[in-house]
Amino acid sequence: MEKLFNQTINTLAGMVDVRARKHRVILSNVANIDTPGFTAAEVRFDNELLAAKDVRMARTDAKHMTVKKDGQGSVSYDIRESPDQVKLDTEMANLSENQLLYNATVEILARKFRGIQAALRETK
Amino acid sequence: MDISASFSLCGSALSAQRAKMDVITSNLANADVTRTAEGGPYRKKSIALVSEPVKDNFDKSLRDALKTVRVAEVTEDASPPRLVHNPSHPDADAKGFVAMPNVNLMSEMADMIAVSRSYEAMVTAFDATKNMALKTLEMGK
Repeated sequence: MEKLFNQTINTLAGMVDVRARKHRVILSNVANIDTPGFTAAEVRFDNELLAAKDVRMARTDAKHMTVKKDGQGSVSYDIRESPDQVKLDTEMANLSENQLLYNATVEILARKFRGIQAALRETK
Repeated sequence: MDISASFSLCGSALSAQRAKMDVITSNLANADVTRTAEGGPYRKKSIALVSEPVKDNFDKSLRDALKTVRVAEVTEDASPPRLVHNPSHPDADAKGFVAMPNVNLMSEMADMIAVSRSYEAMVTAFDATKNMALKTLEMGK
């Protein structure tokens, strides 16, 4: 039987967290648009997320134990210092994209919870 | 999501832009002032902003990337005053020249538009933060 709070919820929660972090980095970039010498920081994680789907340790011997995929719930990302100055239009585009995806992830998470709630209510 | 950190970041940027706007307004208002407390015509003021790392004791993962803004200093432009020939002016010198403030109206207006746009961008970012926080609060509904 599937666990009540399965991997999807953990992945979604990790995703919300990373989106929130990215939002803060974009905020910091926009805030420093007029600061001389400030270079933009950028959060990159989408590629790592795609790669994370298939992360498992290589089994080079038949006696090796299979490794449970624990890391799937957390979404990895890295913060890079871009060499350029802050570009307002790019940042604002990133801001709205990130906001949209954040809201979408929260919505999916909320629906997931509503689904569990509906299942629980049926026992009454 | 640490909402208070996001809001304080937005707040710092908004107040820095507002300070910039105040200085520009002061320059524009005093563009024709020939007498000041320090003597001589008004001198154009410039403002410099500086970024500071966010003080966040709980979340250290983004520490290096997040920077708040504050006003570093307000400096006076040292360039010489504009000399205008106007012998009837009470502050005219023996040759009839009046030392007017070194404020360039055009560049002040251009700076004002830039500040206004930066302020708008920050307000939009603030709005986005607020919407995200509200959305998160609605998750349990």
